[in-house]
Amino acid sequence: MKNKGFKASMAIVCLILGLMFAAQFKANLHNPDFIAANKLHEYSAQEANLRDQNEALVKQIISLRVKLVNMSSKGVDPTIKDTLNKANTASGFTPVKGAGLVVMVDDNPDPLRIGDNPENYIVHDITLLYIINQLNLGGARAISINGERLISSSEIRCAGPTILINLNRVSPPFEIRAIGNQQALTDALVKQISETDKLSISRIRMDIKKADNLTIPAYGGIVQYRYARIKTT
Amino acid sequence: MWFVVPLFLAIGFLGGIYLPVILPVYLTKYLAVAILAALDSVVGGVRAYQEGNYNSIVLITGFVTNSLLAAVLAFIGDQLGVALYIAAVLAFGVRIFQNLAIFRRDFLVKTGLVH
Repeated sequence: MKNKGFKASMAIVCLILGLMFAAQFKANLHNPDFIAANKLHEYSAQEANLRDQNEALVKQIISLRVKLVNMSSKGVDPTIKDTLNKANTASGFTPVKGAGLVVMVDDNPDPLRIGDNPENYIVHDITLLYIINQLNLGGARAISINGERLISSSEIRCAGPTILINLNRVSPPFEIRAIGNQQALTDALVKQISETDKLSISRIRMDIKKADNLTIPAYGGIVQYRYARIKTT
Repeated sequence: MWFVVPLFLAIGFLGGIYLPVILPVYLTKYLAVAILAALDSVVGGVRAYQEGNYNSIVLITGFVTNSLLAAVLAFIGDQLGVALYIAAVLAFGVRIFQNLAIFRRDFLVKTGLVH
């Protein structure tokens, strides 16, 4: 008889092939690296949504803080009010405005010169830290980088291709705003540079502009004191 | 007669879905070429059946050895840093298409749609 045993053997083979298909299908479903296209769309929408929510909440935090500042200084002694205002300005919890500098810092767009280290062509966390330090040296009273207000506990650290400030991602070009004496700030940035620092910022782009009416946003994060207590005695 | 192919494929697939075993991700690459080899065996078997020279032993031995060989080839290729699985994909891919074409032709002739 022709085709003897077709049904039985083909059934077994097809059964196993079906099992293999299912195993592959299931493995891909459980693969954390494997994101289906429709999921990708969903996740990116979710991300945008959370980002919007986050932005709105940051705005709320800032407006509530400003409200709190205004309420707490209402009807108090002018000396206390003055101290309170100073403390609030120093803390970074209120937006401030005034004259100062806008320093634009960006990676070098030029092609790499032979013998040059490409590391010297990009803005690093250490570059920003150095500029901030010089601005503080020049008497800056409030500083922000790409809208991130720097407070006493702000960190600036490298996170791959971006830099984290106040745990938020910022990327070049960096716009550093500083309020203070324009001449002193410029001098600190341009004249009082050590030789090693000169080298480290020689390849990146830095553009210093004076601005008479600068606004520096308030700090949008949360400050928690778990370990530090005010010493009363 | 060859309704057993889709029927048992479906049964196997459903059974596999409900089986509480999940294949580790790093093995999926090898299973993929093994699936291709197995698919080639099934298509070849259907074609042989159509031509009237089907043999169970040929099908089952071909199914087992081709699947294993394809998976092992892919594995060896990974170890050597050469994409040897492409050899399996090409060989079985071409054969699947050829067998399907011949099967289709035979089928059309048998049903009298084409002379």
